[in-house]
Amino acid sequence: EDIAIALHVDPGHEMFQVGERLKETIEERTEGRFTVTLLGTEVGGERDHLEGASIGEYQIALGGSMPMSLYAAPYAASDLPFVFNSSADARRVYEGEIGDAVQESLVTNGNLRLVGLSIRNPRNLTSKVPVLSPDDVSGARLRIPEITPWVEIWSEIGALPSPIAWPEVYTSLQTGVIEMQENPVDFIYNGKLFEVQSHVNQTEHVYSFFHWLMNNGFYEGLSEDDRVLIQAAIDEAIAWGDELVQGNEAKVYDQLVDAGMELTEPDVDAFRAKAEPAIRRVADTFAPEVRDYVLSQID
Amino acid sequence: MIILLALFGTLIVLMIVGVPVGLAMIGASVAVLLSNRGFDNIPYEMLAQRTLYGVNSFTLLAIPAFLLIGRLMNASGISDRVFNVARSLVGHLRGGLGHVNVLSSMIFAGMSGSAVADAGGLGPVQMRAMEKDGYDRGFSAAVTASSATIGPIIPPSIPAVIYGALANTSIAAVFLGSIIPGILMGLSLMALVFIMSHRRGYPVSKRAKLSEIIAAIGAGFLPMMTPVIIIVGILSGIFTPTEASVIAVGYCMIIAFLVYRTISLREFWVICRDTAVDTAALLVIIAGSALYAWVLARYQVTSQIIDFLSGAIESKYLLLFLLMIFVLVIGCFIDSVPALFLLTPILVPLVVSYGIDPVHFGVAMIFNLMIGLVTPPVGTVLFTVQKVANIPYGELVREIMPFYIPLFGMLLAITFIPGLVMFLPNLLLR
Amino acid sequence: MGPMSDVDTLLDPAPPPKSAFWTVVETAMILAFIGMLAVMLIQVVSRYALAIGVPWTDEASRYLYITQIFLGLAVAERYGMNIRVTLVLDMLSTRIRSVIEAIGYLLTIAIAVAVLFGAMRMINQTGNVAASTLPVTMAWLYGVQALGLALYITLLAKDVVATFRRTSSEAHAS
Ligand code: NA
Ligand code: NA
Repeated sequence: EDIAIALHVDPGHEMFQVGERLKETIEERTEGRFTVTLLGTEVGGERDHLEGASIGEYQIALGGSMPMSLYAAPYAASDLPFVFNSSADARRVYEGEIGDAVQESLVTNGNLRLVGLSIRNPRNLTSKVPVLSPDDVSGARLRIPEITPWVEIWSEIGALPSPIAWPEVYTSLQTGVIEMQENPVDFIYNGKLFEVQSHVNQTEHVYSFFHWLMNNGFYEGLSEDDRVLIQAAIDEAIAWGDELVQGNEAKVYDQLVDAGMELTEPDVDAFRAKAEPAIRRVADTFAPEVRDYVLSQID
Repeated sequence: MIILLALFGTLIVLMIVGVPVGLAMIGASVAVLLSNRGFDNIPYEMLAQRTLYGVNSFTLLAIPAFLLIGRLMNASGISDRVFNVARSLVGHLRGGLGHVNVLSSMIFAGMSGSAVADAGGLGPVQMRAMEKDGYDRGFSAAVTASSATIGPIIPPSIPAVIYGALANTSIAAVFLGSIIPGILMGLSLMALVFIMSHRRGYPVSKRAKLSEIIAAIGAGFLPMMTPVIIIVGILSGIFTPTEASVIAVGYCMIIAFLVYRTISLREFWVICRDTAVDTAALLVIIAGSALYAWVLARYQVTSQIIDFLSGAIESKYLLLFLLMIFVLVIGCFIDSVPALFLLTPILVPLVVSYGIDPVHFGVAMIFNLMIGLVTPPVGTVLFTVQKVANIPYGELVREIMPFYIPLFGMLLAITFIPGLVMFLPNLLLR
Repeated sequence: MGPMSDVDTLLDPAPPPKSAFWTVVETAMILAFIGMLAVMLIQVVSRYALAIGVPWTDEASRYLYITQIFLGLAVAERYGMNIRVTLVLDMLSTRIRSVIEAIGYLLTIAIAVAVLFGAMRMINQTGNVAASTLPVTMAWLYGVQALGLALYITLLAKDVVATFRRTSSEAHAS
């Protein structure tokens, strides 16, 4: 039987390496009863992959922020900008009773089962001027992904969020259509944004995760032994990947500095204070237990 | 590899029996899925998803915008004004209207993004004038067809927008990189016209007076500013290349409605309808090729091709040469836009792994595919001009043969002299 | 595209007969087309001239585009504008050409039905999956796709009947 894993990242990306490790482990431990096919962006983007896994064309898909906003919106709090201080804080949204509700929601709405979370590097703001306080982004044309809470929070802070498709981001920063963008450092480096931006402002405003999702039909069709075996392989690959990601972060910072970028340490609390009204508005749209947890983070 | 042959074979059979190209690409994909998985296991959802998401791209919005500009310019008489500018400037050379034909196509290229818009819009103006001055119809048609291919090379350009989006490469850089190749292409065609006109003794007209030149340029000045607005707007960061297309639409509408007052609202509605129909006809092909490309990727045919080629070839020049031949063959059979969708995702990772700049490769590939528009058996521009000129297909193909010499010559030049492409992007975008 | 000759139609290239139903479809297509350009314009103007961020423009223009394309697929068929390669068909005698064209129509219908079937399934799957910035579900988008395909299939079915009639009347005449 073949397990198709769809990963919406470049072949060099850490998550692709996690996928490769997963492939090796599964094929080896099941002695070839299962083969694994790794598919990248040539079969589509994130939404395409999730839909594909949802209908069973792919058995496993990697998701960024989308799986939660598409299939479990009342719980999609882990990627809220300026709310959490660490990955550990953000991860609680997937644990305990909330975690069970998340799983149920994903299965009901997306026919997908969350089988693992990979750590991502926190997102930072890049710019052509140093950004230290919310005033520095006031009126700046900022490219962010089309995630409604993100748009709301950044607007509250005073930026002008602009939806620019990722392929046009580099050119748009170069020519000045947009002035700033925000991403994890590995995206900043791989997108060569150091050529068109001068500052990495360490806002670390989003601690999101990569979500590993399995088609629920495939999950339920596995024998108990295979289920345990595959889950163990996933857990091991993810643990290996988390170390890789955290180890690489410092290296990427060095590479960005070598490429001429300056690092700044903005007043993150000031951003959080400015964003608070929007965060409260967004929190009100969540399930009560999630709302309370989010509010406990900013109080 | 078997899958590749099955995909290609089924596609050709379906196209021969008259299935529309876009649907034929879907049909070929379904056939492969059917033979691999059986009737009950066809992923029907994926057929819908790939064809829908294949056109769910902001970048592709440039296509209807540029097609609309072409129609607006033809309906508002801008094509005639452009032709008159070219005539006042080079009409007095030996074989004058041949040169006028090429130059007017070059000017028009700065406003339009599609070769078919050029051939179908400016073509009749060019053909009529040459006929009146006693040129062979075959020669006139050949000049018209070959120069129309400059349209999508000089920016703005639909193929450049598509390539940039698919290759994850700066569209602005591809635009800038195409300017010098486009101008060289025009000059090389004019050189050929010059030689042939001497041999055949084509007429010379009177040199235009300075006052006539000024009058012609004055009449065509506003539309001729379109490329300036587009390039300056992109470089100064006012809008992205995709957004530039809609700005250009707005500008052409202002000229047509407020300045020249040649189009009524009623006519505009019809123009929008025709453009929407053109767009749909083209985008269905893009939707179909998205599914087609997905099947190639799903069965990992693309990665196998890359592995095979990178194992077999060491020199990047040899690779470029072979790829250019490959693209040329594809271009003989498939229209430029679907060919880009088919080839870009396969070839760009390959050339990048050889250290070739994707901007350089893109411009060379687009240039190559434009030649494909005027090569038999399937040449969209050939078909259009054949219809406009009302001559047999075979005669047009025979007459256009000499024009392949400058076209292929320039293709070789820009393939192997990267500086011709990279000079402007390096100068203006670094 | 316009007067492109591999856009050659199998039947009449003349303007299609007037019909209230198709006027509605055509008007919807044209409005989607103009709306799409207008939204792109809003995107540039709002960012640059008014200095406000409008997050929904990218998605809105894409969805209008999709509407225009899939309704346009059917409208294009009415005008005989869908792109086909008729190089080989043109070389055949009228009789053989009619037969092969009929086969072509049937294959086209089969292909379109397969996609339509997939679109219907996707409508069921994505009924509570939201778009990114707009208050619609993805089921609507697949619904537009299904609608365009259904209209297209209806037109093709009519063409098949017409081709068969023509072939059989020719057979009687000879
Ligand atoms: Na052009
Ligand atoms: Na021409």
